[in-house]
Amino acid sequence: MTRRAAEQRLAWLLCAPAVIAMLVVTAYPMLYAVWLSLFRYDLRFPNQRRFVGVENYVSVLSAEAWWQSLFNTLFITVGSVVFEFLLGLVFALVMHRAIIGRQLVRASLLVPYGIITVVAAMSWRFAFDPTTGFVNALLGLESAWLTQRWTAFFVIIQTEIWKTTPFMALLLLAGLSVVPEDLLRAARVDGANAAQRFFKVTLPLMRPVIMVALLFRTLDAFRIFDTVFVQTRGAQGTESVSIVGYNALVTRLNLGLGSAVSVLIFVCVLTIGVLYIKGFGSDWSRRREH
Amino acid sequence: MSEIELRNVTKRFGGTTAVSNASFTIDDGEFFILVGPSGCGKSTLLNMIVGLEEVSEGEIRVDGRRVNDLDPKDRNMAMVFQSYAIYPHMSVRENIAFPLKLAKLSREEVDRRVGKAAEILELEEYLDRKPRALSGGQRQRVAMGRAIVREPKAFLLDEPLSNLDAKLRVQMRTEIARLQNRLGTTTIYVTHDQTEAMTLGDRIAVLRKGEVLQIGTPRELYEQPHNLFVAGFIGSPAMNFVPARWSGGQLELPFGALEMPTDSANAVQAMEHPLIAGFRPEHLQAIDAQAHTGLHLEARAEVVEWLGADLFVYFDIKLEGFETLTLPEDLEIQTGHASRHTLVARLGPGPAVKEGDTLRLGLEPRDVQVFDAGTGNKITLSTGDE
Amino acid sequence: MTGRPGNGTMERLFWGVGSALVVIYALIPVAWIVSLSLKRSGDLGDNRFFPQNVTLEHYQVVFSDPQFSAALWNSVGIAGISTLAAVLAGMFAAYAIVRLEFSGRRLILAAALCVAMFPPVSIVGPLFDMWRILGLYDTWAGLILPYMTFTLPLAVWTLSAFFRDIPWDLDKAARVDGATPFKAFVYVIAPLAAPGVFTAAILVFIFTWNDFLFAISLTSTNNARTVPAAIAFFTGGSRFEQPTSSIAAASVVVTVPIIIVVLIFQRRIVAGLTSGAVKG
Repeated sequence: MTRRAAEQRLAWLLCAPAVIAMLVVTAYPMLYAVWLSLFRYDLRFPNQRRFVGVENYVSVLSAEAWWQSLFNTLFITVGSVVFEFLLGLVFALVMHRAIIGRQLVRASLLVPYGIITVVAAMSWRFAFDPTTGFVNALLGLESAWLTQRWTAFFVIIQTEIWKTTPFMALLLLAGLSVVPEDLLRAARVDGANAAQRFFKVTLPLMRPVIMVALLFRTLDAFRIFDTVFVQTRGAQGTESVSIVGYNALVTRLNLGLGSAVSVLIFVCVLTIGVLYIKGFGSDWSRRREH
Repeated sequence: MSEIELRNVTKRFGGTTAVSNASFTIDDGEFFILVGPSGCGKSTLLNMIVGLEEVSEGEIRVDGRRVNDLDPKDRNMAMVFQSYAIYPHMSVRENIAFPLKLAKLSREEVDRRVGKAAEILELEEYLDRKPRALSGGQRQRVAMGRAIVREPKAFLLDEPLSNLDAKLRVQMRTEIARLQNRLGTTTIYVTHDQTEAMTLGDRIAVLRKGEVLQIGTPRELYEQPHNLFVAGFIGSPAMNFVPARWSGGQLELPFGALEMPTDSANAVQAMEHPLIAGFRPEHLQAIDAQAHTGLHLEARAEVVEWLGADLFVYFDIKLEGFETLTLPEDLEIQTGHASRHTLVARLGPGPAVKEGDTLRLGLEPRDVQVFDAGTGNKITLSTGDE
Repeated sequence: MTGRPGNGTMERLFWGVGSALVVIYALIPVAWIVSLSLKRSGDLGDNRFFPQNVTLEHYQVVFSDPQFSAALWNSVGIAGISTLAAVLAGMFAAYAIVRLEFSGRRLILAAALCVAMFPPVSIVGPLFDMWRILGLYDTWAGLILPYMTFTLPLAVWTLSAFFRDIPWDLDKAARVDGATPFKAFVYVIAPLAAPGVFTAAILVFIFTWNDFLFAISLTSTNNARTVPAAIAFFTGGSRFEQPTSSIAAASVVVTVPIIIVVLIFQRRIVAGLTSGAVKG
């Protein structure tokens, strides 16, 4: 027993730096955000700080800007995750099946992963720019993409897709290689054609990996900030919730209102996470058993 | 070179007892086997001897000196792991030299000993290779090399052959036996395979659920098992078991009754529990109708296995009037079910037997061992026993 | 899909063309930004993909800009220290999770998962306020702390996955071979763990190198402003010239080293990225 107790102590000691960092830099500030959100607290007028209860939440939730940014964020999230998943699946299949150039494909897919998001956003912004870009010339268009709402969304979403599809593709490739080759042979002998083999054998077996990939990417996409900031700064009605939060907190220094936005974003992320884990909870726990 | 003594060694993990009250002495130079089904505590016992697991109760003594609290590095024992545990980032040479370097031997001495070990194990041409470039058998040899190079007090081998294919396993088995003969080092060998145990060991300890059931030479275990488990575990194919009862001064089996030798009869008579009778496949012999004194039975051959030097005939008997037999699950012996109870006879290669043929088989009373179905203990006293 | 007689060549061609398209798609923005950085200022509006005339003048501008070199130094320093801290803390935690019996294992993995999914914007405000009070605003430490924390999950998960694959029997073997616990660690476990630690370090470095939100929220001057922030707010050599080319050149400067590192260690990075999710 003493040995077990000593082991416990050592384990907690080893985990202490990580645990403390997570408590001090995420848990505490989050609680602090909840606290701040209950005050009128504007750094430009620090002396007028006073307790206002849920007033900040009321004003955020009754503002059209919040709901619009929430819609924008969900639109970008769904748009990019769906296409990333489909494209990622295709890429994964290409890497899985390609005999020649497999290495090259994998290497080039790591380029978008390694690139700074701000740089990627810049590159695509310049590409779609009517004066410096090549896209209009290529497509024979005269469009100022980033000055109209829906085309701006298109540019933002496609930048996200470009930047994060590789992550999806690599995860799905790893999932593909989990499927035993013998199982596919067996299915073939049992009379399944290529499509049936893919949909009835490969995809179900990849389900756990797909769930993890989708969960991670959805939550990641929901936090979108860099791309929108660089490409439109939220103009043309493309503000994401993170941009709204940033503007309130850092640009306007309104800590009370901004914290309310922060808390609401956190609640959204929590909801998405809970929905995913509820929806695929059985997978999750089954995987943990291993 | 040393004698290893265990006194009431017990190991508990939380609430479960992995090894209870193991007491025995391994003689200097002996090849000692710990055998049993998985989970019987044999590896735990080995780990306690080498010092990788703490002893909960009892003592381990090496050459009379208590080693319970000695660190593995100070016990000077060498161990071969089931996974071989070869260091993947070191070459074969570095692997073998590793314990010597830790012991701070001079360079020349290290080179000399590594060279010698490599020669014994025929590893000379692989010395500069990395382990991943070796076959399973070669890796096994590297692990052996790392063990012998230290000239340790004892070799401890934990299922060293279980990752090899069947042919290589037999080959390495002989090599290990030869090596141990040559070096004369006390060796403790853990295995779940009774064939390995029988072929390698000077003496064998059969373990089950943390308890040492019986210790003896291979011949003793085979001929005079103390209980049902040892009887069924040792020998391949396994001993035949049938339900039995004492009635009218005779031992009744499903296929007939036997007169028992007097002292056995007395012991059996005293029993209240249901009985199990056991006899080895070779004790069922093909006979002529008249010439035989023991029990006769007619058997219709269901499956015939001809192995050249041996002929195994499987046949079914009916258990009318007897309870179905329940053997310990960890014996992994399949006897069939109520209506069909399968036995096997080992016959000489002579007679040509086809499936479907009917045979006359004879069984001598002295070859039948009787066990208490409740406790599994043996009741009959075999010739020469105690 | 494989090896049906007769269409082998077609199939090969199909996947070959597929591969080529993937490669082109992945590389276009990089080629484009390189091309922009090499175009002469006058050619910027020519709407061509490739430069007609190559010039290095924008690189000269970028390197003579004190704002950019300060940002580069800040980025390297901050990302380097954060990586070191996160990997060290992650290593300790992963070792405890993989090797020791203790009640908090699941708790810590779950906590790490929560932090991984945490929206950074939710704590930007409080951190801004806290750092102002503590004097950490616009300092290296002010960025290192959140970076270290937000990369801890990545470090803990990948390191746990790697550590789980180490044959820990070797530790026992070394002990029996006569090593003290410390020597067993130095000679046997450390060399085997090194590749995993290295991989985790690369992943963590890329993550911190990439961050933008904290970089613009918690800094205001060249003191601690990192490369992404500098690029986003680049003003160029003169205020009247469009800084497109300079931004492009700066982007290339900070992108190329990362791409080279990523390509050299691609096998490990792929293993590191996927191990957590697949083996989980």
